[in-house]
Amino acid sequence: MKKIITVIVLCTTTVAHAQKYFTKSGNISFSSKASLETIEAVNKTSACVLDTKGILDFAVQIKGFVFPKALMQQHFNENYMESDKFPKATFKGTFDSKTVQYNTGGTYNINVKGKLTIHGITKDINTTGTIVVNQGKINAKSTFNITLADYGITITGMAKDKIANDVTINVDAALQRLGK
Amino acid sequence: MHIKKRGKIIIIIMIIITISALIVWQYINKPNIDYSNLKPDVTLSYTALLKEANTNDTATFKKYSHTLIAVTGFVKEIKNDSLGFVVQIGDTTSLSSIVCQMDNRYNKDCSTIKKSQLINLKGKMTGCSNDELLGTTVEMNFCVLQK
Repeated sequence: MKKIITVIVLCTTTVAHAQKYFTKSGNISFSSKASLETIEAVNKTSACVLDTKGILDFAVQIKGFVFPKALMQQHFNENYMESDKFPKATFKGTFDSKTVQYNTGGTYNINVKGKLTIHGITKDINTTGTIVVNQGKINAKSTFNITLADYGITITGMAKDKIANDVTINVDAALQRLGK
Repeated sequence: MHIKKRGKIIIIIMIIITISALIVWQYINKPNIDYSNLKPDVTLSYTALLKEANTNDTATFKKYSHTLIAVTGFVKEIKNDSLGFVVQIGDTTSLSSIVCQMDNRYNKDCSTIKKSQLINLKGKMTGCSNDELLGTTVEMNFCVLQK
């Protein structure tokens, strides 16, 4: 009898650990605060997959970022991000799966480490985030800074006073269970 | 007489500077293009577009990225938060979908959209991808309902 219970518990644990959550409409926004101007843009169609084993992947189309002004949008795509050449930014990361109880509602703080690829350059990232579990739905959030020069994005001329060297990235994704 | 002439020249120069400054200001602050009154270059059903993207996502994006496309299909999902509306078109039986960032200037129109509703919207394609897990995804931007 004990053996049967052990097998059932192990199976249940394995199934729970194998669960995936996803969205195709995650919000990724960024803001650059320079001496002359604050620039903000948002992409509401980023894809995210969270594996309860502790894997977190994001992908965002660069051309999907929306700016308040057409000229900002044009310069971002053509001069800085070269979005025809590098159409996507991705993040592939991991976190300690034991920090989140997916069957219990609550807010869990996580440490995420992984590889962020922007403008064709991949860098290691260590950041913090929160995972909110509420009635079977999951919300993943994180805010971190990146330095544009690390990703080969150089700001020259008059734009130097309008675009900051460090940019704050906000991630906010409401995930649903895959295969529900 | 000479002073009068000089005064006129100064006024003309000031007018030219003011007009130039206005033109530059308008160019810098030009809002994003509004597709609501533009005729789409191509109209497709969601099944046809997803099928094409599934066959070759890179070629599909190259083909449509510089055109205004209109897509007809069923609403699979609507997301509405402080940043605006995102409408997904596709079958509920598949993960493949067309994900449309709606133009925030038309949020009022978007509030009438219901799940499973047959809609026709137009916008600019921003990306196309095939993923083993998430199926085919076509992303569109600055979308407005086609009236």
